[in-house]
Amino acid sequence: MNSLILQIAARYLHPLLLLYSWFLLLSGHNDPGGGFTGGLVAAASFALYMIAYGVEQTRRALRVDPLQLAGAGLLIAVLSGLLGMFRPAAFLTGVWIAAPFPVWGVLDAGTPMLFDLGVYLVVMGVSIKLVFTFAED
Amino acid sequence: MLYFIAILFVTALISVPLCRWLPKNGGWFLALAPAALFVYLCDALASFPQGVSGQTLPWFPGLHISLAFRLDGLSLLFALLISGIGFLVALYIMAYMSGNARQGLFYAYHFFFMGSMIGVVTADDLLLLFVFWELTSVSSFLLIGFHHERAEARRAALQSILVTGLGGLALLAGVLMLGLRCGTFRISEILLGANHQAFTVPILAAFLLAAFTKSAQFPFHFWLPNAMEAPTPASAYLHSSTMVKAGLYLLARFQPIGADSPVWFWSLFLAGACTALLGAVLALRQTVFKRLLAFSTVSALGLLTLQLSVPHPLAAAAFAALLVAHAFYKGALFLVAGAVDHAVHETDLRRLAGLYRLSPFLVGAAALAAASLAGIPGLLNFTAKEFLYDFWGRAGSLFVPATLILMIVSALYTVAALLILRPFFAARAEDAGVPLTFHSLDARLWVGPVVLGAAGLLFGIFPQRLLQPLVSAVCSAMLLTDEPVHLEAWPGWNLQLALSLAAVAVGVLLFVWRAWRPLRKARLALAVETFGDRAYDGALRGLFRVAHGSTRILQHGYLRLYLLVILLATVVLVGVPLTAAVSHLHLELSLKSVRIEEAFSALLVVLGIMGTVHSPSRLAAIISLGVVGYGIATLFLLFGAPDLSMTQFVVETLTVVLLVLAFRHLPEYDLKSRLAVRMRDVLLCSALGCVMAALVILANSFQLHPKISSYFMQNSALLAHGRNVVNVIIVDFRALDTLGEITVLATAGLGAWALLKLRPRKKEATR
Amino acid sequence: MTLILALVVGGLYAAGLYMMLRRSLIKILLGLALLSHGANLLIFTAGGLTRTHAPLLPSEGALTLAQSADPLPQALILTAIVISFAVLVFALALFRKTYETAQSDDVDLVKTEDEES
Repeated sequence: MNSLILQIAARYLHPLLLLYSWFLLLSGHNDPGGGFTGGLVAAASFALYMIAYGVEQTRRALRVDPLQLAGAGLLIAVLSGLLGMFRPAAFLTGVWIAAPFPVWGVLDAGTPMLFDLGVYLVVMGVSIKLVFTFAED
Repeated sequence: MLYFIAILFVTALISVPLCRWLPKNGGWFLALAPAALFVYLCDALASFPQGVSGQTLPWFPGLHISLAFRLDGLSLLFALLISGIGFLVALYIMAYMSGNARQGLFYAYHFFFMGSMIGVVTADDLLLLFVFWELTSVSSFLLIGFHHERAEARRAALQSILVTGLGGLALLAGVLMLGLRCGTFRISEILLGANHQAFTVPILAAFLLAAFTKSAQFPFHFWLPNAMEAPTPASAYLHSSTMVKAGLYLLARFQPIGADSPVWFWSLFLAGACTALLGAVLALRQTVFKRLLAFSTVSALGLLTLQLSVPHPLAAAAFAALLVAHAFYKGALFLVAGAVDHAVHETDLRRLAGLYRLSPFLVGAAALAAASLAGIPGLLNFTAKEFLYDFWGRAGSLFVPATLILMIVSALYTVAALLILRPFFAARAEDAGVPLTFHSLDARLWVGPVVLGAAGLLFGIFPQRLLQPLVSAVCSAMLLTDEPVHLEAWPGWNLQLALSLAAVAVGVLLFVWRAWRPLRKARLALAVETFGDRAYDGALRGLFRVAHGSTRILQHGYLRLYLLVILLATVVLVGVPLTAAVSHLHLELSLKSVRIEEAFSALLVVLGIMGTVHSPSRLAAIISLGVVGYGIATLFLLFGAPDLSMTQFVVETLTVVLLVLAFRHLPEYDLKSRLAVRMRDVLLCSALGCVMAALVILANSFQLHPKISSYFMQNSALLAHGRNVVNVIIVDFRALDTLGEITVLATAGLGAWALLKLRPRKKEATR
Repeated sequence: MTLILALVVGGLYAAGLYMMLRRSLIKILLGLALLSHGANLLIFTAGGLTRTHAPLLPSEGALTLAQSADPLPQALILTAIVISFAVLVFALALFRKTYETAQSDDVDLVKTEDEES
């Protein structure tokens, strides 16, 4: 598919959509969003890029195999659960730290956010892989 | 007892590596386990009746099932036989299977079986008894099918596990019914409670079926001779002294509460008598050494069953004496048969001759055991038979039939004993074919038979010293009394002795007249012998046919029809109760409360549905499906679920993209079903739609439990540092669920990718 | 509105199952998609509809269940949407492969060929 309009639109929309997906991921704990939604938006962004430029170029833009993304996501999710066990507490218990952070103020971070990152990566990786698979078939 | 069973199971586990490490002498170490158990049991017998010991460990406390073991007189008798003969057989295996790469495996099965068998006779819990009972079936399956490269061995193993497995199922039903009826699964409590109404006819039938299949009673006798496919040590152990006696143990154990029913007496008496006569007659037809022994074992099991039909101290004493005697002489004879096979590689009695050259010890053992089988005075089997005659002599009207059966069986045993002994002493074989080649005989092959044969002699000569404690222990356990029983080696000249000697004399005459000749030729006898096998084959064929037929009907492979069944069941099972609940529904029928944007979204969904179903082109259908998804996403947004709405929008977009990408390769669709079929489906699906709609309304008008969501609302910010409660539930409160879900997601993705992308690697291309 | 949405749920179930009763692989797939929509909407509607706030707590103060939508069904549906997406795609791959192997999209024909091989 060689549509100039689509290609130019995709070139500018793709980074914006990725940025938006990170925003959804990071703000998801307090506002609508989260790993599932963010991961899907990221995948949709790559799907758009793929429709405009083809599978090969998109794969190069992504740099890593999407299945590796999914695997890394699962690993991160499990590890974030293990972190809570050092407290000691049950698997997947949230651990939060509140540390002063320059400019931001107080950084409130915890393992559930890490878990959400894992969800994001799994959803994104699997969706992109599926889109690639069916596009190439 | 638990420790000993554990030791035996551990011995089974280590026997394979041990035999690999010490291929020649590993068996000595393995045999230590049964030897230790035997010594322990002898000690327990010496301190009897204080020797009744129990041990209880919790297993499933919530279900009142425990690892309860109890060692009373009856258990002791069986356990002594199991460990003692098990020890001798363990030594025997060392020589019999020397050089065989699978010797360790055979040891493993042997000890596995031994542990299970000890478990059967010492378990004090009904369910524990059942577990061990099934373990003996499984382990004997492994032993019988040890030479699994042979089709006959596989068939025999399968047959034995199917027949005994049938009994095992019956036993499970029986113990459950009995345990629930008595309110306890503890066997000793059930027996001591002596609730004589405990054994209802169904329970009794289940127990009898279990015992008869295990102990090869008529009409389930056929599996035992076939099981001679097992290596001889296993035959000697399983089919002479242990496994087949598990059924007898079961009968003896529950005799105190079972024997009140006339069903008990008649089933045991008739089955026992039939089995005893049938086995003895068919034994004479056999030309293969082990098969002859197998049929005579069937016969002996019949006699033992007969003996359990009446609860009486003399009967119990006779049962115990006969059990011990049979274990001694039959174990010895089986081991002799194995030794002969090992030395001359010939199993046909007609071709064997001049075996006296093998070893004087082996000949002596064979002679002692055969004499015991024939019932010659001075040997244990004679003493036991005296008891039998004595007991049935007091049984009134049963005296004549029972004595007749005994005499016939004894005479036939004498013939069998002479048939067995003939090749040892005759110089010329009955059917001289290829001359026999004699190999040297390992001493460990005759130690076992000699010990067992000598034991038969010693017990026969000194019954008061050796047998008395065992017999009185058994009597006290079976009859719950301590009435003393007197045993004597030589009863003096009386009627019993005359009957015994007459039977032996008739047997000798029959042998001289070659009475087995017509039996071997008669077609009727052949038909009788193979009857059980043919019935088994027929039953198996029938079972396969039923399975095949029902599978063809139920697993037809039409997705539609499976779905239709589910659909119909749902409509009927959910719909009918719903009609009863309809009166409780408060329908808000006014449409005033409906806002315009909501109505529009719902309309969008409905239009999308119609488009998906009706569209003649697949592209239009896919787009209509997208419209459905967007409509639902809008509904989510309108009713306070922005997260859902976003997710649904993106998912729907991706779905449409994927469907379009995939459907490029699929054909345009056309109408495949007939109009009538479609109309039927429309009707049924509409019914289901109504049911689901009613279900939603109903669910909305009831609230059975307070909502747990309040907890999430209150604690989301406090505990989980998040204000988006939906997200907090997903990543924190219910994170484990989410972890499972993303795993499913990853697996589904991997599966889809593998389905489409992975091709079987072409071997030529890679090389 | 509950009544209307209940009818929509019924319609989704009826249409989904009707499509799954067809013989064409594509229709079965579309039916599966409709059915999962139906299930999601069923949970959503049965959990109680409300036009008030989303379950997002304000930075100061608290929000009670009476003032907002119920977060629990939403959490359930959110994951269900993504899972049913994955299942749908898996089924798509399966059907694609079936069609490639059997050269037919008629499940009846696929079945007979399967039995013969």
